[in-house]
Amino acid sequence: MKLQTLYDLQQEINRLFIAGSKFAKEDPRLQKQIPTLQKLGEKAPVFKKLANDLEDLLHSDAQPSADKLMAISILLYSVLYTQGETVESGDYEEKTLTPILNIQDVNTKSSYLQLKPVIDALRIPNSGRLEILKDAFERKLFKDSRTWPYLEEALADKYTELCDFVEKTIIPSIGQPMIPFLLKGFLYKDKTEHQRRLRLLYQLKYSGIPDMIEQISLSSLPSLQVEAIRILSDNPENETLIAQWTGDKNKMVREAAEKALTKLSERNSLKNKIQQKIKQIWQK
Amino acid sequence: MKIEEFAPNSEAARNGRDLVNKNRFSNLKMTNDKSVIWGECAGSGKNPYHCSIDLKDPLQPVFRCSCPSRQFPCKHALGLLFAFEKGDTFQTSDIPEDIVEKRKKLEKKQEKKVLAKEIVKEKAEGSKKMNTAAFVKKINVQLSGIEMAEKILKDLVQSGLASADAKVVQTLRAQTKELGNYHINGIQTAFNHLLIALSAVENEAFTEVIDQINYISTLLKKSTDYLNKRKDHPEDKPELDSAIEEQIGYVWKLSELMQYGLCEENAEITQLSFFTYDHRARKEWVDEGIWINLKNGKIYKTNNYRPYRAAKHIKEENSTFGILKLKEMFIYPGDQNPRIRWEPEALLEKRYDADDFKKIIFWSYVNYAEMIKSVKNTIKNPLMDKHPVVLAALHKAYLKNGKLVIEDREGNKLSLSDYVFFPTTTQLINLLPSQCENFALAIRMDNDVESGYLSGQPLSLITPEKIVRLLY
Repeated sequence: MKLQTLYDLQQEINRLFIAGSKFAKEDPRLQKQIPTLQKLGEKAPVFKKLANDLEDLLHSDAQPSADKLMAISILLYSVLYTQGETVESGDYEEKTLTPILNIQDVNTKSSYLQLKPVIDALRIPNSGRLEILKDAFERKLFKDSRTWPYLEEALADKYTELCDFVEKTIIPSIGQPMIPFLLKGFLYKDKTEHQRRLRLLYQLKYSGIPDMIEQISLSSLPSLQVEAIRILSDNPENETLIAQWTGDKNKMVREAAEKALTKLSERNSLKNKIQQKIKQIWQK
Repeated sequence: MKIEEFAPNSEAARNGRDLVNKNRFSNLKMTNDKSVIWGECAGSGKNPYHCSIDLKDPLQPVFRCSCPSRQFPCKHALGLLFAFEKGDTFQTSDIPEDIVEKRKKLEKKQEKKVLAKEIVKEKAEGSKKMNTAAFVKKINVQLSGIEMAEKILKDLVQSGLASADAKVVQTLRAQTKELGNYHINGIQTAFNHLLIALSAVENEAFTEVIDQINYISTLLKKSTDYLNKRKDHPEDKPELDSAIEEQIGYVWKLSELMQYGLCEENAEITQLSFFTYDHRARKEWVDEGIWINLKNGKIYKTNNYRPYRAAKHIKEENSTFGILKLKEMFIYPGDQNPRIRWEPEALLEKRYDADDFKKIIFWSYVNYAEMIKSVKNTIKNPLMDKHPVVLAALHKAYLKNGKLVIEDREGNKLSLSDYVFFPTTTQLINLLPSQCENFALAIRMDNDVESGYLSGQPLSLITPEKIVRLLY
């Protein structure tokens, strides 16, 4: 159980530190803490001591006030450090863990000096970053799962070529274990980084893609819609769905929809042609 | 052994590898027994650099190069080793005369070093005659420094943290610098930390500053009592069950640690985690290793300090794997995770065998209530480490409100989260199976006094087969 009194007192003590201990004399808000502390003091002597020290501080002049405030603060913080709760209160459901890899297959063998420059190259704008990543890719350092959260973050980097390399080469080489990281970073926002995440999730065969596309279709997020249309155009059954977008108010979306329809019809006509050819051969 | 470990920093290793990729090496040669390799590396000038590596002791190769770089070993010598490892063609040849000479010189030097160490040891064992007058004089200087420090702190608290504008901070900085003249560098560092915390305050969140004020005022009080006691009884031993000496600013010598028996013979330890951080108050980089003693389960720290000014010339440490067998392990006076050190020659490395992981898991806390109690006992003391590392035996793990929670057999729970100043390690969520009996987790504790939550950041997962490092 959390002892709110202590945290309230902490607020007051912090306030005095900020304003200056010279203002402690007859401070009404400090005064208010004393009765509660005295009551608690009946059970545990430490509260009684806090109450007494507080009383003392309330009657002290500017000169000795600093020492007194510090003494109370030390005691209070000591007590607070024993009060920490180890789990959040509140009724939350326990959810089972679903590991992305068998623990035997998790690789964290790289040393600090091998890994650090690579993680820095993913995070910090500096010259020669792409070369470091290419070199690390050849040395198979991205098999180490500690690079994965940073790879995902790097999709939002300002340096497009670096994002491209991460998206097109590194992440696909890791495959499905990247899915939870991508999901963590993905937001329904009109930004290229989220377009990249969506594209990768589809490529890695994430099972929730249909739901995501549905949500995107209901929003006005052109760059994500463009990506969604590209994904839909892989399946001829989506033709009518895509057709709806040809009247969209955004030019980018309209163009993507038209392009997707052309792709589908080309594929259809190619299919028709092949079927005709087969027919002809049969008829002969 | 990984070549990166010899490099003074990660950049040098990368540049060395680059040199190999760019074919800058020529005239590569080695001795018949492959104990010495040498060659030429093209630099920016007309003449190539001559570099060689003596691999007589493969764990401690001797690098040499004719380039003017102050980094040691330089990228050329590292590159040469990369080329050798990669399998580039090295022609066999006789050992060059100058290397034979240098080998002899080195042997002589090492003999001298061993001799010098024995003398130190003898000195440590023999009773050292103390210069009491000088000792008391030094303490008096320290005490007057502490008095000054008390005044600085009192003034600040009395007039309030909100009053600390740029001008006040500047005065504080000057006063803190002044503290450096009183042999109380530890206290000076504590004030530096206070200044840094003060300048980092946002949205009236002063808790960290106040925590540091608590630390300093406790330290000043304890130092005054302690030093007065020392002054009255100079012949008594220094306090060895707390870090007070170091907190005031004393730097322990290994011979003293030996003299006071703070030394374990034939220790067996292994690294659980590693991280390098910027200690702005000390103006140093700190390479911190977290270790466990396989014989008693105690968790230690190693700190390799690299001052900003000299950082380029001091080797950045690397994470290490395997068991270290130490002839002598020195243990600094301190709290829950004392600092340890050893001499490089006292070290023998061994690969892990399956038993080692079981040994580590054996030492983990099965009951979290006990574990939390020991942590709270440490952190409630203002002078002790607020982020002790503990080892918890896992029974069950699950997600609650998006957070990873671990549970022991009795149903005691601990929620895990990232510590703001460290890289994320809660990716553990994606790796840990729900049934994780027989696993142990090394955790760095963090108590947020404002929210009232005590949580842990996972550092490494120990399974019966291996150590999964989550940090480094």
